[in-house]
Amino acid sequence: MKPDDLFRKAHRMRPPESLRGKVMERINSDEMAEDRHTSLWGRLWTHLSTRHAASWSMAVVTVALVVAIRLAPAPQPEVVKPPDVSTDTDIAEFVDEMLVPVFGVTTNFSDDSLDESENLDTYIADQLSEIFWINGGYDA
Amino acid sequence: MNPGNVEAQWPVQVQTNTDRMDGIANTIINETITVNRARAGDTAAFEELFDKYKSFVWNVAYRMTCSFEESEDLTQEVFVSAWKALGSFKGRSSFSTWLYRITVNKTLNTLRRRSPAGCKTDERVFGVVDKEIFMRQNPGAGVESCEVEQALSKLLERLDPDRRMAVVLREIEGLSYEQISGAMDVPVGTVKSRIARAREDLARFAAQMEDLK
Repeated sequence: MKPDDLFRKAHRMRPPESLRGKVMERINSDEMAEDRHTSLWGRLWTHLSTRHAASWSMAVVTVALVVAIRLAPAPQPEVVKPPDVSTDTDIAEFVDEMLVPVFGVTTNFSDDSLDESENLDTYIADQLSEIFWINGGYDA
Repeated sequence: MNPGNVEAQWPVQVQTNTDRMDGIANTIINETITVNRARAGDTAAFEELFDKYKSFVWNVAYRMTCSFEESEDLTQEVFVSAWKALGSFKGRSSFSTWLYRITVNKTLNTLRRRSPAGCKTDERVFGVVDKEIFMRQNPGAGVESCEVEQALSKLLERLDPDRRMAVVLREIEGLSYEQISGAMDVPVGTVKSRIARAREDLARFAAQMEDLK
């Protein structure tokens, strides 16, 4: 017999009568009543909390860590004050400490070394000009 | 044709179509109400749904497994799973499509667990239609019906499970391509392809069986 003929002659069979009782008995049980109508998250939570003790412990530890991190006092940022360079002495110290080791320039700066015609700005401009030419000038 | 007759028939035709549409709409509305009652925990409502779909679920399970016992177990599993998952059923698809999908997944999973080698096994694993059980289950059916079932199950059991499912849903349960697509969660094109290949396979198997006689 050809498949098409078989399909044509085949008919839907009647399921056994006992099926209804078995299904309804299962869904009426207390366990099913507790399980049903829970959302995906609810079922996931149930799965983790009842079947995986390790996962449950991990969840507790994770929550504890998050709480501990949130409660710990955050370190206050250190306030860096600008250096007080208002005096000539301070500038001289700055030039000695910074320019000499870095650029190898001897400054010999002091208040006494300045002529009356010179002022601090002229002195620094001269020093910087020297550094500029030592390092190649315009050809650098 | 007498034009007068057309005029006389036209309102009748409209009335018939309207009635049919009303009937379909009522069926959908009633089922939605029943599903919502079941979601709220009304077991009587779920029993109504069970009565409506038990035949589909059991027949698909039986055609796929060729085993009365397994079909019974599978049907139970499908409805119990549906009951448990009703809370997550949002109604985006129809209840029938949702239940078809549960049925298809449960059945195919059962077959895969039973035979890792693709379910192409012999009768010892699949079983055959037992004439005594068949007649007891279907008292109105004659001997010829039993023989048809036996021949059909012998052909179907040789098919790949996915193709078998597609052809069972189409040829025996009468689902549309779109419904099968929803139930099997594959594109309509894939459904058509599986059914076409299943038909080719079945024709070949039938020819082989004829040669053996």
